[in-house]
Amino acid sequence: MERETQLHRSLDELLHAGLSRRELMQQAVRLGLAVPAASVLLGTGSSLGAAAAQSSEAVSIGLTYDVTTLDATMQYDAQTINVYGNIYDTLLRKDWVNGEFSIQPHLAESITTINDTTWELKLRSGVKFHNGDEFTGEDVSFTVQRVLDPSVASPQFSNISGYDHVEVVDPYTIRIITKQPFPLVPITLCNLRIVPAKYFEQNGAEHVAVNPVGTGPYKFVEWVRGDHVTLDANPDYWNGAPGIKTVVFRIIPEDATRIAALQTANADLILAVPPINAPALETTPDLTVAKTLIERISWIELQALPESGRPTAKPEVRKAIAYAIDRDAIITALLLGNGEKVSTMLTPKHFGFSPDVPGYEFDLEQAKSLLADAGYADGVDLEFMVGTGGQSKEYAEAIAGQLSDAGIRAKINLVESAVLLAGWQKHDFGDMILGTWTSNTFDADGTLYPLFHSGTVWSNYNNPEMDRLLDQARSTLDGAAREGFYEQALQLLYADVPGVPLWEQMALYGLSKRLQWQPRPDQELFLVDASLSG
Amino acid sequence: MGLYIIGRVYQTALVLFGVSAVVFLLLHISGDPAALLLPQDATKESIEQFRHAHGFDQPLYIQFYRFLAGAVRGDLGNSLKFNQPALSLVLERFPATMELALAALVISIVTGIPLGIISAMKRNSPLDTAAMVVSMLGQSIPAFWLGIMMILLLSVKWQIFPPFGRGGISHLILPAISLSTWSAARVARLTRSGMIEVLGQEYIRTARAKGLANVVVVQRHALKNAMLPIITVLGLDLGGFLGGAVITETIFAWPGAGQLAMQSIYSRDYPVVQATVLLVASGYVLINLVVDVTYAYLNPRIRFG
Repeated sequence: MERETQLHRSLDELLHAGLSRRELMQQAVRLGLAVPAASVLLGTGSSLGAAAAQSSEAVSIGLTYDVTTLDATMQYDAQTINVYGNIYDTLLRKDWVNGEFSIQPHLAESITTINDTTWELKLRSGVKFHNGDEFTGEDVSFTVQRVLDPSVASPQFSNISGYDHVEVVDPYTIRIITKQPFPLVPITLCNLRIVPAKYFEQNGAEHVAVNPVGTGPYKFVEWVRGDHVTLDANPDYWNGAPGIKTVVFRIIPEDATRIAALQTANADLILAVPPINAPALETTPDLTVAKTLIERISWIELQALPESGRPTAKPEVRKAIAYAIDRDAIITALLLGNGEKVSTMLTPKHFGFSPDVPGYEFDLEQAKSLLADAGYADGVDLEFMVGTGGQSKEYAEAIAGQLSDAGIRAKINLVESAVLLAGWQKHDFGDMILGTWTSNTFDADGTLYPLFHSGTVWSNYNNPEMDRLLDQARSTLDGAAREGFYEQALQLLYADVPGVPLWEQMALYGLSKRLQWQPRPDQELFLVDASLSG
Repeated sequence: MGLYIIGRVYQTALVLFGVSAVVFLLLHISGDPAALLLPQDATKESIEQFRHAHGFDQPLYIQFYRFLAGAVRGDLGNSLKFNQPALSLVLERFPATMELALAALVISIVTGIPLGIISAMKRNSPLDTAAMVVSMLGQSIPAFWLGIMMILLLSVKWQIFPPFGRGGISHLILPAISLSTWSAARVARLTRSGMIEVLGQEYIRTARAKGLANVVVVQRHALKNAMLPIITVLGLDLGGFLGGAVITETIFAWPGAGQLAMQSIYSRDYPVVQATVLLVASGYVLINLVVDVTYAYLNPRIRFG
């Protein structure tokens, strides 16, 4: 009876509430989860087709948007990597054992430094591409050259822009020559997929983009644009044949539809479950939610450049903002616990993170006092640019509400993501911008350099001391020295507050219990690590 | 007739030029594809390299000229995201959108017209009231709401239809209903009012006085005349379906041009958005031309100068 009442209440909410489309979707999915329970109560349930799509050898995965290309030297947005990450291999691989991050050999068996700008890699022999070509150093050289080639305009250029070229010493030994000492070589090799040089040269990029050939655990079968991509297990995979024979990636952009696909057994794994839907999925028999904290953080960038003339150019105002935000309350109420507060712009997963650098805890009185020190005893008006993606609007409204308690009147300027990014890059966003950041390098350089080194497209901060620390940290291979530079940089950020770190994001996946799979902090989706039961 | 068609082709070219110019301008002033397509930690150097490679560092009028020069040769550029010719990407998706739009049109016709006729024939009866309430609801309910409700009830709860994707007829029914509801309701209301007006005409009374059966009066005399405005509306709605498919295709994960357009708008993939808009606009103009010609055929009072 309670569930029937809940169903009726939910229906009533849907019919009468003035909800946005996204809110409606979320509410609708909540109702959808109540419906099967109600149908059992009312005796109207049917098992028709429920398990029709399931097979003991195949899994179906619900992606949020279409794959863009299967040429691994080009686009590398999350959904595209989810697919081609199973077709191609990298030379090294990120690994987490009991939460401890490490870089492991993969297509390369070892990596050593010859001098500050030369890295030597020994490659695995006997590895074949899906078309039978043998994997050698020429393929690595070709891949790097292609990504660095200005005429290719690869979106991955920034990943390896510190490389100069690759020398092929022999078929199974290569040397990566960097322009300057470049400590990020190992981590960037974890993101660089190796494509077959001969196949590429024979067939051209346009052909490869839709007919990929890699050395990975899965072979390409079919791509129907906007609908699905099918992969089959590579029985000759050098690291052992995958257990799951066939993987079908389905393109399902709407959250509600993706969840319906999971509920109707048309998908075994779905990405990007909204936090509001997670509790209901967790209580549905045969389904569960897998979660992991990821490298991506939510934060507020502040306009700290004195020449901007903005109130936030005063450090006291920036500190007042940092003190006035109660992040715990937002994480509890809006993220429903699916996030973790961060003190600095780095998470504990980053190289360069220091637990000794403090953060700003919620303190309304401190905020008011600092504001008065800045000459704004009667409050201050700020412009706050916010993108429409995800739950940003809700977060921004909560933050603005908290700021107003301290006398900071933040006027929200809600814009589409493209406009937000354009405004950010042109440094034209008012005083504050609500952003998210990930570099996928798990290294402080990927976050601190672009955001806080003067002169980058993202930075609104100019401090010669910060520039010096970040430049030194990126030009030495001495790990301990780098950690020292980054700790100083984090201390400087604490003192100057050009940005307010908010929380580390969590990725939520909806999962059929028949699929055994663990999410990774880098959000990569390797099916070779998954298995099916039953 | 020949002059009329030449005039229409000229108008079509003007419309397509206008549409291209507006879309080009709006897209270019509302965001930067480099910011959306490159990784977040992209360096200034790589952003500039991307812009230069795609000509975005050129003045806007030069970019527009290049776009037009390519368009007249049938080259709408390469997708920034997919690295494939934009036109072929859209054309590849168009059959799915047309399939959905035609299915929605069929639903509009087979539900809207009979409902309107029955309402007109049984005017002011409870049946008429019920039919008009249903059509009022159909015009009021947003397509995305109806789509989600149908997925929840007919896919998740009763498991009658698959919740998403393209396949056989079973995959087509829910998105087609979702897309057509507004149009079917409008057609029902127009049919009703048209039929009521025609049924009151003297020639209908004459036909009845001749002793013709009611079915013959309705089919041969009343419906043909009442159909004229409905054909216009159906033509407009078919064009509207091509645009409206953006939402429906996204909700039902239907792999058509609408879903592609949505993804391309978010990433400011200019060539794909422009190709989609040009194709939809061309389709819309063509459908209207066909409607006008059909109108003339059905109504001898209309003559083209």
